[in-house]
Amino acid sequence: MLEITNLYKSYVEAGQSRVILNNLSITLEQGHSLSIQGSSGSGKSTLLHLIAGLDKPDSGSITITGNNRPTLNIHDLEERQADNYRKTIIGIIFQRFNLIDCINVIDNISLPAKLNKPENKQIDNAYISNLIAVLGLSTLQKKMPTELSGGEQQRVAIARALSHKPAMVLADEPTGNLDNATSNTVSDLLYSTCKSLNTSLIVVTHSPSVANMADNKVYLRNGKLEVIS
Amino acid sequence: MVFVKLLISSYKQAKFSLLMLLLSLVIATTGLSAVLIINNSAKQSYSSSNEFLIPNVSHQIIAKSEDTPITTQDYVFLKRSGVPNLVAIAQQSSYLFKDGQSITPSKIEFTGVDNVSLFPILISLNLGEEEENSQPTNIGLLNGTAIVHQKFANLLGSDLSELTIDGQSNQRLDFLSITTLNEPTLGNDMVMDLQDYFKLFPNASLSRLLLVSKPELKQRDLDLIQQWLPEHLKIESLNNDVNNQELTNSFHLNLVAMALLMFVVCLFIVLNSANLLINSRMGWFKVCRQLGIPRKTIFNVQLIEILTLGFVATLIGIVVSVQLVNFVSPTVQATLEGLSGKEVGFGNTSFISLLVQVFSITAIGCILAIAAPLIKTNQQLSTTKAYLSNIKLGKQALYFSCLTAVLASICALLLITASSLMLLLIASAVLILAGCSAMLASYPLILKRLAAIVPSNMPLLKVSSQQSVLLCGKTKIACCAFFIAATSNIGMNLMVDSFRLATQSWLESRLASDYYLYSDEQINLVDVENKTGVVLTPRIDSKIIYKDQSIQLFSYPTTQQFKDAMVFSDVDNINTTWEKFENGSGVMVNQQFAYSLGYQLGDNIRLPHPSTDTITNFTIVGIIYDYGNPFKQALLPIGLFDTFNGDTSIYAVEASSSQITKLDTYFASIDIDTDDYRLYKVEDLLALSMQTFDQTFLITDGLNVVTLLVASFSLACAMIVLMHDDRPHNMLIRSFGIGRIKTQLLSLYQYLLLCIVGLLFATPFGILLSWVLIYKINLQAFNWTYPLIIDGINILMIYSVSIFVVLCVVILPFIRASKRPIIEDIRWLN
Repeated sequence: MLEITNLYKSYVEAGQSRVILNNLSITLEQGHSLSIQGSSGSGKSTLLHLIAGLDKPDSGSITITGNNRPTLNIHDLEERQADNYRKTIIGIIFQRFNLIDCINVIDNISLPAKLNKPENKQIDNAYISNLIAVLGLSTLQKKMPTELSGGEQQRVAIARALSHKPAMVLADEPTGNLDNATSNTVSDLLYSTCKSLNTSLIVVTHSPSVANMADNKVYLRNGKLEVIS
Repeated sequence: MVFVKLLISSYKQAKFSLLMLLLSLVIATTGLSAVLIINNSAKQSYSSSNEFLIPNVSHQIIAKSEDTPITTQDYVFLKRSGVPNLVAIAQQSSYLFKDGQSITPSKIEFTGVDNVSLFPILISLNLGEEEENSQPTNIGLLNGTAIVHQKFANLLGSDLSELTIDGQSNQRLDFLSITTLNEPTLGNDMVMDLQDYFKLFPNASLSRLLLVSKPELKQRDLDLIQQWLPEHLKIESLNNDVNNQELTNSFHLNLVAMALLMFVVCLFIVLNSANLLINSRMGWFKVCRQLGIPRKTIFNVQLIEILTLGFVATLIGIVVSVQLVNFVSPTVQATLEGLSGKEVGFGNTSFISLLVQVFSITAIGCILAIAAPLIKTNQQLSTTKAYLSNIKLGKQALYFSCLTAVLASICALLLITASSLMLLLIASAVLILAGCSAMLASYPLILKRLAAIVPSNMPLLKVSSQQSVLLCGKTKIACCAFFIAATSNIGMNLMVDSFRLATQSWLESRLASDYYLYSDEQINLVDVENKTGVVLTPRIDSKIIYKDQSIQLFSYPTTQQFKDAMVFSDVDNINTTWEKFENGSGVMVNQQFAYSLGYQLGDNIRLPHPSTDTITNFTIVGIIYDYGNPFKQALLPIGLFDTFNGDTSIYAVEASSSQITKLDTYFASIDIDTDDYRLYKVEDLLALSMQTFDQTFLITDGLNVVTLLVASFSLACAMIVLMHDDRPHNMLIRSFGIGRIKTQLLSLYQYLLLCIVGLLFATPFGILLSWVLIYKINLQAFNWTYPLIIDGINILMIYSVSIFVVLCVVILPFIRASKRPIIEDIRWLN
């Protein structure tokens, strides 16, 4: 379970302090999905980066519990611990630059799994094959990223984000570069796959249709979250 | 103008790139102007070294043989016979000592000019008034005055009374005062009146008689003078000094080659820096295009910008190079003098002429270097044309393979057929280019293979290895610069190292005696042996003219010890050879003799018998190594020489240390002063020779490091550009939970992989280059060669130095990148 309590984050811009997240709190159950909408510059990506341990809050706490794992205080993690947290517990999908262009699709997908593999153990190939099949990537495995369309690339990114069986996937505008039809297909796959794997999902998006697919929907305005029913 | 203002304001965002570009241009212009200054100085010095500060000298009278020098009687006789405008010159090279030490590494040329004859000649020819500014003799060679170059005067100091010739107390300079002159011809020379010269060197003879004439003497006059000349003298033209001309050309060519290498490497570095600057402002250019500024304007302004930067860099480069040349001038002088046996002056270089030369070359270089990135930018900024950047690797490999084949064929053709030094130098350049092309053809293939062998349980290393395949396509130019520098470095180092090892083993073999004695004094060998038990074996020499070339005839002992000491480059059967040599029918010649006159083993030559002067038939029974010797030599058995009439100044000494003490006592008993002889232990002589050798190659070593530094700088510029391109990739890797240091180390691994593959490629081409340098260029230029020794340790050392230099240059940007939090990269990407 993800629990964010009284989160506060500000930036200094042109000598002026600008509050991005103001005493923000939210909870997300394991296996559930959350969509975050908001206008540009409202702090959606900042919130996602804080959850991913890529940035630090000014105050407040972000904790992850469950799955027989001790409670993890994300806001307190040292750099090395944050690296390890990203490596094992979460998967991230960006709007672009998601794939390593010098290796093929299958290698891209299995890379996080290989990085997380315990010593002297094989990666779960059956799980990855299933993931590839579910996301409709079976015929694209040997292709290079530059040979794929935008939608295909994002499907590979989803598979890659899930390949090491993370507890939570963070997607920062995953369909921002795609047309409506492709966007809907990719979003469908993202939500359904995460649901089937009991993986929590947080999606930052401008698209109401993508946001509507989530179990929980919030809108970020003036540093605070407004729940959309 | 609005765009220019905008461009200048863009510098705020591209400070680092601008600084790199300016720095690279300054390095390029400094190197270029330093080489031009040295070249110009040496050229001036060489071209006027025979004029002795006297204008309008086209001919000189010299002795046919050193054994019969020009005497003062000859001079008086010729003057009385009516030979017009004759000026006597006497010259001698000696070390100048102060406080028991030589003040210069090389000998100083003392020149005496007959001033009494010179002045009336100058007045009668009306030279003084017409060419007042260019005639240094107008300042007058007063009695008791010596003319020296300003820089040499600084070295001498104000008090000449402390200076002695070769450290001998009876040859003091205390009666002379110094007049300085900023004349490049002077170098380390000291010019004085003939009377003063004879005070310093009472037993010296005249070296030459100059014929001063304006206009130049006609053939009829020369024929007339020829008739008056005593038998042992001859007249020769100063304009047709073939040897001097060859030496000047060869030296000039050497420097031009150095300058060209520097120019090519600098071209790459400017190209990479320009790329860096363009890359950092690409976004800004795109905004300008959106604002409606035409591509042509952007293109032209960038061109003007690089030329302006080039001009600023030229000014800075000239100032820096002048300081640099002043700093290294003693080493440069000593090296060049050591290499050529000629005095090298300090040189006068006109600032304006240097500025024009350096800026012109820089401007051409800048335009050449920036053309490709500018055209690429122009295409990228185009709104109507699609920019194609994806060229298939396979096609590239085929293109570069074909280019390699063509270049290799040209190189082979040149090496087989070339008969001039220039063509051989071009062959070397083509060889390096062929290497570049071969490397570009196979770089991706090799890196792919390397990536394939990385074990799959090291996924990040595998990904990085595969990433380097993409990287090599983007760093072609920088890799070429690095390859050129590494190839030259390996080639030059192997050459110098082979020469060093060959010289060392040659000296160790040839220096077969326990001690060597150097003395011009007459020594009675029998008396020495009787009284001290020391056996002295003299090296008797005489000089002859053979086929219009000056040849040295040297005696060589025939004992087993000296037979074992001989180092042959070409010999049939050593026992038969020695038998023929011992009985006087065979002669051993050095490579210089054989190659320059086109002789081979077994050829017959007719040389004057060293004792009787009768022309005698000798068979060449052995061609010997004689490294670094500019003279052609023939060795004859010592028995053929007349010990009493030949010149002897070197003796091989067989003695124990106690006998050596006796030898000193013996010399003291026969009034031979300790200053009149030098006795070297063979180990000391070897060490001294090797020390001189190392000093000689100091410049080469320095230039190698500079070239490598410049190339590494170029590579670093390319890496900085690529580090921007790599940010998405690294951001992604970091988002997987890989630490920032590990991520940067992986990037560093990619670049080092490129360097290592570049070095591996450079190795065979470096070895080939050293082969060309030793067996083709050295042979063509100096008529001697030495064995190429490929030392693996030496090559590994070059690898280590190269990688260390690259690491030093790139470490700072990598540390900067590794300190950057991942969130900055994510924000930058968004």
